[in-house]
Amino acid sequence: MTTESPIQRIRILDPVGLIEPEEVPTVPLPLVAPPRREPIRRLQGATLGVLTNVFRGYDVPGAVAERLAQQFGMEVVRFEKPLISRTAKPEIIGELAEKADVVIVGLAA
Amino acid sequence: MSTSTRTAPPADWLDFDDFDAAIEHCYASGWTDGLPILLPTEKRVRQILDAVPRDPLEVVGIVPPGRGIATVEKIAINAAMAGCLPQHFPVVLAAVEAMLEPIFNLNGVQATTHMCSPLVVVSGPAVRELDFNAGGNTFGGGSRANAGVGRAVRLVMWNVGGGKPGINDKATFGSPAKFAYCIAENPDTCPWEPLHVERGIAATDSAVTVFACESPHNISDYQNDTPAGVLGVIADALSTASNNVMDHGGEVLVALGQEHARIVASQGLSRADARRLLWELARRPLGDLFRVRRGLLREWPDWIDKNDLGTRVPVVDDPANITLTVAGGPGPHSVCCPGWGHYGGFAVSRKIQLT
Repeated sequence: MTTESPIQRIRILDPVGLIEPEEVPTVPLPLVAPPRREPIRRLQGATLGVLTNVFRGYDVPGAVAERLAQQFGMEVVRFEKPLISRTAKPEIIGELAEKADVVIVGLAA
Repeated sequence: MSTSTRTAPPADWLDFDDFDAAIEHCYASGWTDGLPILLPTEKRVRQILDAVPRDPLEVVGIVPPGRGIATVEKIAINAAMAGCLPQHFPVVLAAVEAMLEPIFNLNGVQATTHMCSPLVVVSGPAVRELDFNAGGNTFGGGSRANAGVGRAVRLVMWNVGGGKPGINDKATFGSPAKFAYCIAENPDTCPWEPLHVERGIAATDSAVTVFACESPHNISDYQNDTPAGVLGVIADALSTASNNVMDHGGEVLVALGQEHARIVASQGLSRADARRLLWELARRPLGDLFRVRRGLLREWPDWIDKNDLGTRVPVVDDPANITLTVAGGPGPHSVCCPGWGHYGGFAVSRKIQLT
């Protein structure tokens, strides 16, 4: 049996990309922060926001929203992304947060 | 020399006394896609970085969907892990830069349930100079250049972009192309100027063309000896009613084998002529499409009469949506690679900055 040769210390570099929070687009904050809204406890009469994927003929979020609106008397505000595979602009997210009490989001393609 | 002024911190490092422990750490940390990697040692990474006159801390871009910062150094680390030699690194950089073009929509390519993976097609003098395999098994194994560049691109998507199964990569099936997907256009058998010339890059330069697509589908044809005959067989495979692009729109890639390429060019057809003829042939009657689906998800070309079930719908809207290259070894075969759809992954060409 041969004698193993001594191994020098091995230094390896980290291949993972650093993530900086500034790179994640967020809704611009207004100069005066809006009052924090408490989460709703009942759907009855609430405003339902829908962000759909615009997947033609496959509008599951929209169909779900219709049923909920009928069942609970909810007002619906709809937003569409121009392409299903691109993230929604921060402005759309901001409007949803402002206008809707609860939100349905469509994902995936 | 880079004109970018944005830099990011250097990579962290870890020290090990034991080679096997270092390897297992890479696996345990999720740094590898399941296949083995070369340890990204300082020496190996430094040798790769020295191949380009760029600041290692220069930010090349932000890789979605995880939004990791891709510095030249981070890309070099992943290229080292993939087994790239220093001379391969300019190709890797060009491919990453091409994928980060907004029109490519790497975010969607990474995250989609579709199996698409970015295919890197190398063309120009670099094919010979860097020993890429453009002949037999160009899509397969045996070439350090093909495998190294292809895997480096995937590891950047994996480690810098966070495109991992179950986390951000939602592909229903995935494919072997998600390990390494790089071929080269064959300079010995291509009857036309290099692929990148019609995309605005000089013939004397080398380039990558990156296109997100499915794994290659083989078309064998032993019988036809005319351009329309050969392209007609390929067109039939390209334009099935259930083809992803027929439903979702977007682009396709066709790689002509050398025997088919010789026939296609035999009557003086240029690459553009061949693409146009292929586009005219790769069509399906509307009635066939509605036989398998209630409706299609693509944006219809304006001239389609949806009330005429005999209308022959082209698989892509325009000949420019077909990337046509020549690759592979002897044999009466060609391949087609459907793209992801009108959502992105479109073919983007970028010059390789060889030093």
